Amino acid sequence: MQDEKAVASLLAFTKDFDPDVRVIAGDLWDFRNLRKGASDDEKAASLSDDWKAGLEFASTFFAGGSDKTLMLGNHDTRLWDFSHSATGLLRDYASDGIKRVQGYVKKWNSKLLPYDSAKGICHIGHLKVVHGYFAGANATQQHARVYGNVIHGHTHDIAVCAIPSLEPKEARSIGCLCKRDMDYCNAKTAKLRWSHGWAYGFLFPNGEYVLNQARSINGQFHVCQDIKTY
Amino acid sequence: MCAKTSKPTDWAALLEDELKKEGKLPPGKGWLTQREIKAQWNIGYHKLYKMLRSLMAEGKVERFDGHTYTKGRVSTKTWYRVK
Repeated sequence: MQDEKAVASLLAFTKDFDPDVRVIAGDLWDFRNLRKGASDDEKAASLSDDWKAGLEFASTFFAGGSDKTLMLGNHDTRLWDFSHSATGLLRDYASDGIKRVQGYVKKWNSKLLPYDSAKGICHIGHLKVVHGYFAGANATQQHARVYGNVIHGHTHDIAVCAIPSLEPKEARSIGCLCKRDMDYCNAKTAKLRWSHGWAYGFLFPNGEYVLNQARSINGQFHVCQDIKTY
Repeated sequence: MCAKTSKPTDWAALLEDELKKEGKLPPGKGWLTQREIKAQWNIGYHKLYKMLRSLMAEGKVERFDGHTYTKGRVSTKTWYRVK
C-alpha cells in the first residue's frame, strides 16, 4: 500500500538531508488481516508482504541519524491487540511478531512509542509528534487544542491550524506515503483531501524549531536543504 | 511461551496461513450443532440433552468434536449427525 514514488522521494531526500532526528509517526504496517471484523478480502491480503515492506522502509530510513523514534499507529497496534485477544498458535505467532518488532527497534537504536494519546508522544524540542487521535476535517484543529504545537499523521492530508492562545499553538497534518486509491476508500470523498508528503526542519539548541512541509506537486517534491538566519 | 520461528519473516507467513484456516470441521454433510438441532426440533435444551444422550447410547447419532476460528479466537464446537 506504499506509494512507490513518494517513498522513493522521501528516502532520497533523507539520504541527502541526513537528519539527526528521525521519526516514523506511525502506520509503518497495515496489518489489515488482524483488524477486528476483517472482511474476506482483508483476510486474504498478504501479511508477509506487508511486514517485509514496512521492515525494508524502516531499515533504510533508520540507517542514519542519532535520535530515532518508531511510533505505533492505529494500524500497527492491531498486532498488539490481536496478540491479546487471539488464542493458541495465532497468539504465539503474533507474540513472535511483536518480539521481532522490538528486536528491530533495538537494532535500529530507536525508541518505540505506543499508540496511546498520553504515552504516544514524541518530543522534539518544543514540538510534539503524535500519530493522530482525531479524524475528519477538524482533526488538525482538535490536535492543536489538545497538544499545542504538534505534527500528526493519521488523516493522510496536509493541513495547518493555529488556535487562539497567548503562546503559539499550531498543529500540522503532514500527509502520507500510502497509495491514494486503496479499495476500502473508493467511494469516500475524504480521500480527495489526502496528499503525499512529509515534514522536516531545523531544531535549535533552545528547543525552538523551523518546520517545513514537503508535498507532492504534480508527482514531484521540492524541498530546501539549508537555513539562513537574518 | 512463544512459538519459535527461525527467520524474521516466518511469523507473518505462519500467522497468515493460520488465519486462512477454517478450523477443524466435521467431514461430510448433515452435521448440526446443538443450537441448530434445538431450533429445528423446537425443543428446550434440557429435552435436547436427554434425547441426544439417549440417541448416542443407542448408536443412532454420532458426535464430532472440532473447532472454528472466530476473530482470531479458537471456538471449540461439537456437531451431531444422525447415522
